[in-house]
Amino acid sequence: MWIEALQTFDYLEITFALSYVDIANGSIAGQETKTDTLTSEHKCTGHPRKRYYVHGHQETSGIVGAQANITTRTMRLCDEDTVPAKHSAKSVAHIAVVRIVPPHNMWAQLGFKRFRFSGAEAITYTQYYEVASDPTGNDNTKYENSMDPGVPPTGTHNYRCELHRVNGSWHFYFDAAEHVSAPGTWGPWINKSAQKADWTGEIRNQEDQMPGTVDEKCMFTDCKYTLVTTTVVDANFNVFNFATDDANQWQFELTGADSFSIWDTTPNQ
Amino acid sequence: MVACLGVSISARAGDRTSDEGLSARLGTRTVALAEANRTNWRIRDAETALREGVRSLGLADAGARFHSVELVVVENYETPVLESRPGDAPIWHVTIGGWSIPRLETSPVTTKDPFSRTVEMVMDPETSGLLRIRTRWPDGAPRIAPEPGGECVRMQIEESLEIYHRFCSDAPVVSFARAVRVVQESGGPVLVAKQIMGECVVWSYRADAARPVWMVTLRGIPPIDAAYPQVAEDARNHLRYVVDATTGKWLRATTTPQPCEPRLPGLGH
Repeated sequence: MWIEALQTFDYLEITFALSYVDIANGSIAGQETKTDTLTSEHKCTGHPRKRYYVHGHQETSGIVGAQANITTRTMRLCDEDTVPAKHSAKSVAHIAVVRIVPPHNMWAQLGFKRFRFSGAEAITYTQYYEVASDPTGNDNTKYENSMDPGVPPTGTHNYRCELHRVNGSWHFYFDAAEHVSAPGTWGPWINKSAQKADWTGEIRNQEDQMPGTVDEKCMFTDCKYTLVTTTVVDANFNVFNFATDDANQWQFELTGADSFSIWDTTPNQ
Repeated sequence: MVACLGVSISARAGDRTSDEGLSARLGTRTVALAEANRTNWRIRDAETALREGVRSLGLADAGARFHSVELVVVENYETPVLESRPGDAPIWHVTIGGWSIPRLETSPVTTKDPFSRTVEMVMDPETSGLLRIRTRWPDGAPRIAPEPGGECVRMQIEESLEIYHRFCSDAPVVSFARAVRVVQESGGPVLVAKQIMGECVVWSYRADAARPVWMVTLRGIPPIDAAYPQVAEDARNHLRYVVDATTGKWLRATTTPQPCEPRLPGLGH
């Protein structure tokens, strides 16, 4: 029997072509394909169930929206020059609202990301939104991840997301214009609100570049969140509203009551 | 007017977890139609149908590949444009085996499609338009949630403010092969997608004008990273790309529609 690896990618799945050889006469007695999982060491230190963050946040009851101006940055991805990609990779800057109902959190987020799938021959740099409600695998599960092609123009742009509680629909705005929308009646979001607003840099692998460098930081300014009363509240950060998964690699600095910057200290690794 | 001499009726899709083939999924029956009744057709014979199918795949000819052509009546398009075609209008059903997607020119020459894909397509004899195309699920590959269809898809599409107006009435300027290439160039994980599907429809999104587009759906791709990994893999292992069928421009990509089962009945949201 011999095994030929047809493809190996980092979502831990490998497909084999198996050929059974009659050792008496060398003829092929049968063939089949099999798919199995494996773990492997690779240059991109990531895991499908883990991501790395540096972010600012505010937690209070009754949050139904968030917004910020975010400076567009281009982020380098882990093992970027290998084609087709052996590893999934991503680097993201976004605003988010999270309803914390462990272990089934619900969320909405909007931002820009540079990413690639394992096995892809090109990198995608795009604006996107993501909404999830009650991701329990039961009848109420709903998840939408949508990309609008096009890199956000250079410079700083406003991102805003807003829940319409009457029908549970999420609305997303780019520079004040309604940019993308995940409408409809999302039952689990009807008359609900969140407890957390996030302003976030996110990567998949440690070697993906977090948005920003020490010379060109990714700036989040005019951060605000919206309450069910429709009151728009300044983020009013203090140092305890920030976190990084590794201060040696991904840093933040408070630049104002409603502003902060993030960057990757080793963007070329 | 249509001389249907139904000679066989294929099995309807019963076990929807198996890859029963496009013909069975659509619920087709073969028909015979006299040459005299084909005067208004652009595709009057099987040879022309095969040639159109080959062209849609970006091939010069069918070569030694397995292929078959039959005239059928579709009983269930399972597409939100079902009402746009009369149920008894015959269409060409073309099957071509051994299709592999070419690598991008920017990829190493060792890059290859790991799958030898069997492609089924249906095309309108009167317009020569390719209505639907679908590769069969690779033998031995792990199964994912069944392809959603029918009313469940229609509801989700409408919730996303998209409208499928009708099937393309003319052969699109951009071939299916070219649309797949656009998805590849946009970072879509085409080569590792276990199944690729396409439909040419006149489509609009929000207030945009309706235009002919290719819906290119990749199924069985590496799952998209969700902010919280408890989102079911079947919610994240597919993407539907929208490609302008006139200009070849990528317009958007989304995980909508989501699997309909086990949300059915009632759709749960």
